[in-house]
Amino acid sequence: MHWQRVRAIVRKDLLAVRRSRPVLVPLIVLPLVFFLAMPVGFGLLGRFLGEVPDSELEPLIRALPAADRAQLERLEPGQQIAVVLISYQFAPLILLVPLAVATAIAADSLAGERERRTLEALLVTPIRDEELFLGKVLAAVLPAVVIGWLGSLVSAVVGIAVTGVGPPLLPSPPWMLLVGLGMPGIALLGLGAVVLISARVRGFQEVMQLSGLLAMPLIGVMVAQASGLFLIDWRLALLGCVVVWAAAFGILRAGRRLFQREALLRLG
Amino acid sequence: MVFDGPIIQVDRLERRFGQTVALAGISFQVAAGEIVGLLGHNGAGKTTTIRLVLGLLTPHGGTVRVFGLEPTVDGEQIRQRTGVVGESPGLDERLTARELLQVFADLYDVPRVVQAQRIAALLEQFGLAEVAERRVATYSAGMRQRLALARCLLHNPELLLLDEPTAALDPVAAHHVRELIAERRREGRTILLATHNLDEAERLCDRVVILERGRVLVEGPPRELAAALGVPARVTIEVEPEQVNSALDVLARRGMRAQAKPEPGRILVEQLAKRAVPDVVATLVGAGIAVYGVELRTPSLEDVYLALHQRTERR
Repeated sequence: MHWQRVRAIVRKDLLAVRRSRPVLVPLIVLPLVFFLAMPVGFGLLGRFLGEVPDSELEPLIRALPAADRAQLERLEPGQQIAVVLISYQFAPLILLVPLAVATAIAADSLAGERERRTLEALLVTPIRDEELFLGKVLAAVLPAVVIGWLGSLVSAVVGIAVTGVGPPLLPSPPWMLLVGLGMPGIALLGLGAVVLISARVRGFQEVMQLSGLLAMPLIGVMVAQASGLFLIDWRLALLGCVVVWAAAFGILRAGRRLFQREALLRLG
Repeated sequence: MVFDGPIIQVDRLERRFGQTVALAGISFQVAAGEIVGLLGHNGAGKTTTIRLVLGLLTPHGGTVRVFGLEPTVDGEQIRQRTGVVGESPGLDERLTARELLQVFADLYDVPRVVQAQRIAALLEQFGLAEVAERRVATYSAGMRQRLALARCLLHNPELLLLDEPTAALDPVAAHHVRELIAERRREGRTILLATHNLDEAERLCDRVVILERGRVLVEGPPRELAAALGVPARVTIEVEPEQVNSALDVLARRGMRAQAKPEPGRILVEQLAKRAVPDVVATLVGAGIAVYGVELRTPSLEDVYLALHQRTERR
């Protein structure tokens, strides 16, 4: 493995992303929404709804794990609402950020590269297929994970500041599992999906639209939680992370098999 | 170990794409220091040949050897010693020229200690030093092609594969790029130039290989092809303008194909061998025609190409 070549691909793709508005916009807007606006909004919502009758709060609290419930009941009603929303109900949505960042960069770097007719210039260099693949993977996954982790840190600090509640309720163990384990996994999963989609679809926009379907399961989990079907505790969060990592591993292996010079050239 | 055989050796090379035969068993060689033109229409098999030489595609028959190596096995080594300019320059427009060259210097394993100096020298040599910090998106087509050429020289390659390097350029930019290619030739590099520009091939190439529908029609030095294939010269004879019709009659009686050119007093005689020219002039003079001049144009590569094309169309 020639790391100089791998680093060159990562550098090139990240330089290009920094100067591409269609790619950069989701990279800025989504973290602002999910890591800043969401904790601030839910924190303020809790304050305004501070006088909510116990009967309305009860179903939400009842769905919590027993250990967390006892601690939560010691909080003000407004704080309880904020914690339930930030740490449990909307927690899976923060995974949308690394997913969107990874898919946007990967779509630009794979389908976009073909669309701009710049891929062949890379293929005629001595870079090996696995080096090119790794460069493309790192270029998409590293920013996704870094943005996800830094954003989550900001989100936790903001959440604590706005609600006045600290660990282990905010951030909660499932939230921390989703951030620590789930974010890299979902970024790899998104990237793997883009590699597979790019093998069949030509344009950046088409790849972005199709990879957007990956967000559906996360939204589904959120809807299921809101409807009282279940609430993610640390066990469910861990299970979710394992499933995501397994899916990412499988899909990336399949993607790597498709990532051959001749196949890439045929599509280009 | 120094390799002293042909730099490129293609032997009965075949490649299909589905039912379409792209190459139907072509053979040719490129010797060290030689510049060989690969000529043909779009779809003749030029780009496929280059991709096979680089190991980007797998042959379906026959063999390719580059520096004595097999591209499908030793593609990395071959690409390390080869510079390529593709049909499209393939430059990421969001990068500046310097950034782009830095990326490719890393991809070609150019040592970090010499990168800055080599990039600066190439930018200077290709007239891009002053715009090196500008994004490629702001470049003209000619500047982009010069940058693509600079990029392919970053690792000081022994072999250059140039695929239609002037196809999308205006005449001035194309002329500049041709000069840059000629300089590389003077440096002693081996070049395989795929083009459908016959004038370009004639000016730059030591030998040409003419492809049609995946087959080699003919190969040889451009100047010798006409004689080898019996493509005749075109002769323009200048006579007294009022005697043009009489002259045409005389030539017709000798069984020659001739026609009046738009310029007064000028007659174009086709299919005339060079050695027959004195005899024709003597006949005209003998018939009382005032002959003021004779202009003999040896057949160009274009004439050869057209003649070959007509022959294959007739088959």
